[in-house]
Amino acid sequence: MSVRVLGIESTAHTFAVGIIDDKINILADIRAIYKPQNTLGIEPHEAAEHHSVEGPTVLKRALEKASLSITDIDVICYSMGPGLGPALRIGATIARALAYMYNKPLYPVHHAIGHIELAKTLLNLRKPLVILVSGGHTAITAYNLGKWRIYGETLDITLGNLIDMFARKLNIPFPGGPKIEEMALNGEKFIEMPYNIKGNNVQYSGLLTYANKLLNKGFNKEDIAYSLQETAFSMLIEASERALIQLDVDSVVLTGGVASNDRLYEMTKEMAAKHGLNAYRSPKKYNPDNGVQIAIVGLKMWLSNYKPIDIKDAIVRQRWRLDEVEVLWE
Amino acid sequence: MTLLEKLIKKGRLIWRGAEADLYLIKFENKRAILKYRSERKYRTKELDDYLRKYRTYTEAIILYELGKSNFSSPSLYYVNLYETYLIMEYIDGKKLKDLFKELSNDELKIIGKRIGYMTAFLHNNNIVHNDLTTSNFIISGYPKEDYEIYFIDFGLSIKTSDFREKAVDIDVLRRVLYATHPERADIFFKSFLESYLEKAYDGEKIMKFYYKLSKMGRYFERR
Repeated sequence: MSVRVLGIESTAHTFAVGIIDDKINILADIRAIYKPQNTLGIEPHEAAEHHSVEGPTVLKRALEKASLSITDIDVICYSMGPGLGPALRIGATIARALAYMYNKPLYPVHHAIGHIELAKTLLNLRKPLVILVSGGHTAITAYNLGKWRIYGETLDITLGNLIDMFARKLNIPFPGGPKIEEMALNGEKFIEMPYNIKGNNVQYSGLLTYANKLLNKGFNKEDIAYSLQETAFSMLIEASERALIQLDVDSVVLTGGVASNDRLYEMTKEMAAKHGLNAYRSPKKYNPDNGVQIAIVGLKMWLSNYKPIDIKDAIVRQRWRLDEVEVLWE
Repeated sequence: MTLLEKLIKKGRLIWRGAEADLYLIKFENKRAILKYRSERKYRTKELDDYLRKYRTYTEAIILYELGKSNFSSPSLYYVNLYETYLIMEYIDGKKLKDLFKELSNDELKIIGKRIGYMTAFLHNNNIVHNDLTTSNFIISGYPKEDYEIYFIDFGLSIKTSDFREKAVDIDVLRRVLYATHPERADIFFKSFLESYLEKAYDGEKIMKFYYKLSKMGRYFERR
């Protein structure tokens, strides 16, 4: 009989439930995305409100989609962090309630490990260098001795932040990435911008300030979008190449929300090819936050005989670092 | 055939980096390093051309300046901005990274101290290295008593008096150190910070910002 895992995601904008089985068949993937009412940025308490209203419906729809009842589920897991406290707590509360009422093993999942393991599992990769580009993370990571070690990362804001905040300045609502990518395609003139690399790390806040300044001065928006993308992506790819050279990896993979950007993917492939490696990215559909990524990690924890977490310990960790997580499977 | 092509043809590729390729060559009968910044195809041409020229220029200026001081870094022999390459002294020795395990705690302390002084010297002269790692410190002549420590790879370096940039320089070293040598990073780094603070102008201001930085990175729970 197969094992069925239900994963709950609620770190930021998205409340989602994913259900998979141990053959990694995706039985359900239901998401509800909070749209800010008055501002363009995320309001943590509004997001939590959204999740608590939508949560039960999303859960119900996921079970319907999988044609299962909650009693058919073997393992429950939820994203424990990192993310926005109020939003995270809704997912954790629902997960605790389900685990307690139906007496199921409960596992806490690190959200970013979800992005990473989803890519690795769905693409069947062995020893990838992972370039994780989401709203909360910009990290260059590879598995080594029981952890996803960070070999380079942003020293200030993430690439996702950079693009979202630039989009916000143009009154484009979340997620702004696709619209900025489209604008960039129409850019013609490259404008020099601050290019900040420190070792294997990048810094994006100077770039954001500069791009916003150009907007205020009335430069062509498409040219700015184009130059911003080119500069930000080149920095990340250069930092990744620096890390790649020091490591023993057999492929490169992009994952997380910004992985959907075709220009970034093209640059990743170009860089990897120079080192005789293939580059991949997680399926576009699973780049944004989802419950499947949480379920995949929950399944691996269950298969690796992790001890389920006690209900009373199943809290949230808003600032949980990726490289603190013990990963026993390879 | 250009001079660059001739040199590359006769030289031996010893390192293919993300930023440049290094060849071991003979230059005026001396062993030398040719550092060539070749095209990065993933970058748009305007950006790539600009970066390669700009970095070659900055690196040359810094190596030249350091060459006039007592600081141990490779001497600059030749530079061609248009073809984005430089030729510099070959430093014989071992990377601190490879030597780290062999060194005693006392030796690590002394080396940490000396590297702290050297970093302060760079910063006092408004040079920020931007890639301080144990791979970029060459220990020449070890295990003899009078071994010399060289700083190499000024490829990402900039000239600036900004104390925040100096603080980032130290933060990057801390990150690499604790990631590559977790067991004994502390011994080295404590001694590094002490001597750095002793010699750096505006040391207190830099360190204050450094401590702020080390908490500012993504997701550190002890805030």
